Amino acid sequence: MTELIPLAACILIAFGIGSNDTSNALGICIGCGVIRLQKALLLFGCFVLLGIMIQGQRVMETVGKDLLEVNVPIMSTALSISALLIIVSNWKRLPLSTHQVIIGSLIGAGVSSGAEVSYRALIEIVISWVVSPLAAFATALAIYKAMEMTISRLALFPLEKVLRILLLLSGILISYNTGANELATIVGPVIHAGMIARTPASLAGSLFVFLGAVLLSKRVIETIGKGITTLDPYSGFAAQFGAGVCVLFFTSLGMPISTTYCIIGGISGVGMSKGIKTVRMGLVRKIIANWFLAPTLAFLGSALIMRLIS
Amino acid sequence: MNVVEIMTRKLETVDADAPIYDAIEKMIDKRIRSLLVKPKDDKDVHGVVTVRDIVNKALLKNLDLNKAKVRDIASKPLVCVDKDMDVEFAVNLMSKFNIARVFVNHGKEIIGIISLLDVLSAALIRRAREGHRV
Amino acid sequence: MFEKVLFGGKREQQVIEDIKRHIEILHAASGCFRKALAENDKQQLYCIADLEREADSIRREIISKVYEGAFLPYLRSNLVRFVEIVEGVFDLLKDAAYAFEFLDQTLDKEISGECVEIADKNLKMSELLLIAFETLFGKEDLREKTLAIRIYEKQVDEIKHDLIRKLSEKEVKNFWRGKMLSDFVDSLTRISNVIEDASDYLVIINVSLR
Repeated sequence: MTELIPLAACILIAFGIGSNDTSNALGICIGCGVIRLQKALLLFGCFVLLGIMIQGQRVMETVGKDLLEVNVPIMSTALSISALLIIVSNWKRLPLSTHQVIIGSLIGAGVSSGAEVSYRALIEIVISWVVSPLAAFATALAIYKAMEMTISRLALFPLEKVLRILLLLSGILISYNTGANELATIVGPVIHAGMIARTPASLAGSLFVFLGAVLLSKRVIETIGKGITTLDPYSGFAAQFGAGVCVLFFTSLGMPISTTYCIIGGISGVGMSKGIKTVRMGLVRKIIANWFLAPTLAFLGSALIMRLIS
Repeated sequence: MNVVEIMTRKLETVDADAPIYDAIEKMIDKRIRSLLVKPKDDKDVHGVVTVRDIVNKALLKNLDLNKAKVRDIASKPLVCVDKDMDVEFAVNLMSKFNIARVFVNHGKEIIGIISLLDVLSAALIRRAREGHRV
Repeated sequence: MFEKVLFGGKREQQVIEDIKRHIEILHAASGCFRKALAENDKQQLYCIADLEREADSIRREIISKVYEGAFLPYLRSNLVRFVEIVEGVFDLLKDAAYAFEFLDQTLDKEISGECVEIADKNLKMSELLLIAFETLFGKEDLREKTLAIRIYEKQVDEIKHDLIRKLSEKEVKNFWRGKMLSDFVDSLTRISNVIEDASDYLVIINVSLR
């Protein structure tokens, strides 16, 4: 019976990823009219699956094996707390990073149950969390400059065509990352605790992400109004693609990082090149607060529960 | 292209005996930089007075603008081109005499004026219509 | 699904062709109008009415195709606005044609030369507007074309100045004839301003996406 708990938690979190992160990936494509919602969802689902099948293992290993030896109780606690926090934050519309919550709760459960935690892996992960948005900032800026030197020279209508294709590619990249990094983070522990094999877990995970996107797609449309889609298509591509490339890089290193924060980094990078502050200080403060708050809460929550259980 | 195609047909004139101030007023009101000076009688020829003439020969020399006459600072005779001459010829003439406009004549009659700005405008229009084959 | 993105947007291509056609019709109508003025020809005025109707239906097609999903949304409202500005020129042509008809297709001797000259410059401006639009998918520089349009507009402005002064010295024997003449000159002289607006808008569209 108790094996169902982590599975249920996983499913819930996957659902949450579907409903929230679709807008990361395809919000800009939909908002820019490159592709319609239904087709966008289908595309999203396909590439999430591709992502986790092709490149998911590295992140799965890091989270499920390198960080600490997961067993079923640790995993159940961690994932349940994570699911709880993610649901609450979705409900309250706080930008909470799935990765940080999961890692935090895993560590919390691990520490309080006396499991061996690899602090080296933890430090690598935390460094990635800090570096990745900055890297995205730089990458997006570089891409923007490159665009200025190349496609900006095109006449208007050819340029418009090129942008449409680029935006779609960018959306696909983010979808792929969602599978390879985010989804991998949550199924990683489950797989390495020996509960399910990799392939069925990946398939099931992708399915639930897709369902989350489809069923809660209204929310996707709601969130389209903010963040990256307020940018024009030209800047939007640079920001999003820059973030995507960054996430891909860290995924190949096996580091679980937040696409959302990378996209924010990307937007700031592009905004910098125009000499304006696109991210308001209030938002930045809120983000930094969450950055500390999320893993800490997760850590404490799961440490507590773990203590209670054992 | 012949000068007759791009010249301005409207000619603003001023009497030779008019005070310089009249010429100034006319130039300002009509937003032009030169005036054709009418000949005093049959034996006289046309002249021209330009903004440059006014500034250099009247203002800088502190002439009384109400007393001094246009003929004191006007240039005679006119530099003219025949209406069927090529624009390039007119431009060369302008650069040779270091002036910004020449008058266009048909026989003995002055029928228009062509300035560097007219030449530039026509060149730009032609360039826009035909691509870069000017 | 990918055809739309990869294989060139048939819808976009059609909208571009339609906008081109719209401006071509404007050029044709301006030609009819100039002929009408120069030769006091009433038949040409019917030509203008027909062309204006055709232009209207093309405009509606353009707008509906754009909002069915052609082009990035960022571009859509600008394209539609451009077409509506060009529509404004048609309206002025129509008004001028009506007034001209009321005046029995004869312009007073003193001003007919200037009026034909203005109509001629309007014709040249509309041709340049088409050339300017074509730079949006070609290699030439838009700025050169819009500069040429502005040069023409200034020339029309100068002629208008003289025209108005000549008119003001005329004696008005019949109020309605005077009003029609005034309306005629008003519409005639505004055409160049609106064409200039349209070309300025092309510059805005061109820059907006980058």
